[in-house]
Amino acid sequence: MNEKQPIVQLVDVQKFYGDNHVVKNCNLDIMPGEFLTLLGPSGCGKTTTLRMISGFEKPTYGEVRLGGQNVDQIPPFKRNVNTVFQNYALFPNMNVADNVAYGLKVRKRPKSEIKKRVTEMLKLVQLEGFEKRKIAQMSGGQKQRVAIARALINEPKVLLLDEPLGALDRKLRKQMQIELKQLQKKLGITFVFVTHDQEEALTMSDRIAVINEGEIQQLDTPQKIYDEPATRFVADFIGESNIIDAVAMGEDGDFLRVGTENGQAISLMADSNIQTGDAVSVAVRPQNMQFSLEPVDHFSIKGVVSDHIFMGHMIKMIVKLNDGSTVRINRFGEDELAPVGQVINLYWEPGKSRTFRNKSWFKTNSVVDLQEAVDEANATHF
Amino acid sequence: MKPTPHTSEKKSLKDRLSAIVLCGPMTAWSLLFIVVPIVILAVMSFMTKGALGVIVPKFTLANYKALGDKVYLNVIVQSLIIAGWTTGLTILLGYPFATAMARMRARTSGVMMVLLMIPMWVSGLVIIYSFVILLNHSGIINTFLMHIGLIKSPKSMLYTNFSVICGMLYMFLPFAVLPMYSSIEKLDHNLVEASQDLGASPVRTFFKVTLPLTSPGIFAAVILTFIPCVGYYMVTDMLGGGTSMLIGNLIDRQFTIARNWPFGAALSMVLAIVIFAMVGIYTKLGGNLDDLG
Repeated sequence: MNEKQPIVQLVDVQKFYGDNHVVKNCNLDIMPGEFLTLLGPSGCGKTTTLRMISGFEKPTYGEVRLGGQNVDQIPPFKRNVNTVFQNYALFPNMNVADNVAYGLKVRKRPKSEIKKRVTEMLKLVQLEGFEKRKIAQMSGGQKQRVAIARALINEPKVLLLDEPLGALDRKLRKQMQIELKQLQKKLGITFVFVTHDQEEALTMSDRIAVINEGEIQQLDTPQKIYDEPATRFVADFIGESNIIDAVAMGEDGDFLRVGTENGQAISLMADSNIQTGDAVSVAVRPQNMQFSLEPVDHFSIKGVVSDHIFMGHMIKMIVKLNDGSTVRINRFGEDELAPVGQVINLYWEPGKSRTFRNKSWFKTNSVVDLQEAVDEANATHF
Repeated sequence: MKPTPHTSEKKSLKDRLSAIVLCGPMTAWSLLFIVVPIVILAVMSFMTKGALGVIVPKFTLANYKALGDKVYLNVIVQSLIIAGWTTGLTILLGYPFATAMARMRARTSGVMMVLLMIPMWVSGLVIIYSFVILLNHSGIINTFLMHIGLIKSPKSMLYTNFSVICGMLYMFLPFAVLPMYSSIEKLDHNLVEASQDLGASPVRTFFKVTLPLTSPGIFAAVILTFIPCVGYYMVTDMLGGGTSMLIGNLIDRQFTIARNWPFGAALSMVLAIVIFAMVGIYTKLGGNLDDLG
């Protein structure tokens, strides 16, 4: 197979459950050997997407292709993909070795080969000597390893993982994240990983598809997704962001001037279609949010420090704005803090903020309020 | 916190009192009407039959020795065969039904459940009479088959092993479906998907995953069908018409017609031992007594 050809392709895939539109026009090319994560809140359609690849769901419209071949008519047990299920789904009536051997046994492979491969697989997931254990005697993390070994013994081209670490405690989850990533690199198998944990996605993936309400919001490397979120949803869902609703007021050099109910600011445009008067959202990471006791050029947003929250490696300053909304500022180590009750001017490097056109904002704020805010902001600036 | 011995003792006394109050009546009932009669039967089975059915309190093993008689052995074997057939057919019919029910939406399966229970609410006698009317020489089935020209003369269906098994099947199907349904419903569907995901066809998945994991339900169904089948003499009496005799019928006759109570008692003891043995095997295999209802 050509290296450049995607191993999994979803072409215009849509899925309906009755009237419920679960997956909307999904186009996704997954390349051989890549670690791709489907990331989104629960109910966003990520598991359904995974199940269409494994064959347990059929797309209502569109095509799923494995290795370039349309697999619409191929049942799950004939597809060369394997799944690590959410709750492991280990067979309780078989011991560890029999669970791992299952895929080879149903393929009627010779006994000697099965034995050799089971040993290899258990060694791979560091469970040597656990062959005769019953599933009920295994801990959560061990079951997880058995499930991975069982799925890998068939040497699938693609391994699908459906929130495999969800049931583990935090420490174990961290450890398994690293192990899974190393395993994937070592074996060179394509991993399609489903999770709602953004941290997990950022740590492990080569690329992330952020999904919300059945739509892929952004498909990119973890770095790009974090630094350059494409939509308001991505900015909010990945990492922590201060999201400030505003109105576009025109260009200001390379940046966009925006008016909020609390004053004006400038920000980087993420969407070249923004017109003056559009409702927008400005997203600023807490670590990029700055403050000054003196007025700052281009910025006129004031707030009162309402709280300091100690987080260990940093202190989070909570700042209350005029309209009652809050902004969070992360301060590290020797960074200066403003005392609680202090009025401060907020600003940020415009290149470190992102501006999105915001369709949904009109639902919550009337156009009249917006215009007032713009007028007020204009009056104070000029 | 460590409770002081004083309070804990007080509490356990209170617990014991409430346990006695709650369990007492049922225990007394069981003792009086189950344990005591069994003990009487056991004692009676070692006594001698006197003239005119009088029981003579003289120890003998003759009643048990008589069981070795070819006639009685035959009855026992035939009982086991009919019970075996009924059980096998009940499982074969009931399992797919239970599977279908487990896969239905909650409301539909609720309706199916009620439909399944209705025969259990109808008196067994009424059911048996209905079968007589259905299977009769001039019964509904024969009349219908002759009417559409499928057969020329009425087939004899009543008073055969066939009619006995029909009746038994009807009576015991609900009891068999319920434990199988509960077992199948509890089965984690992810396991079925995992099996197919690993390359097993749906048929292989059924034999390697579904069947082994629902076997407790099947075994409970076997017990709930097989045991009453062996002893349930009403069906054989009325649908078998004397052609087939089961242990139950034999016992009935010893007490009512032959008036050989000690022999009837010995037969009852054998049946009881068989039943206890089966339940024993069931629990040994990891079955849950609660599943038997």
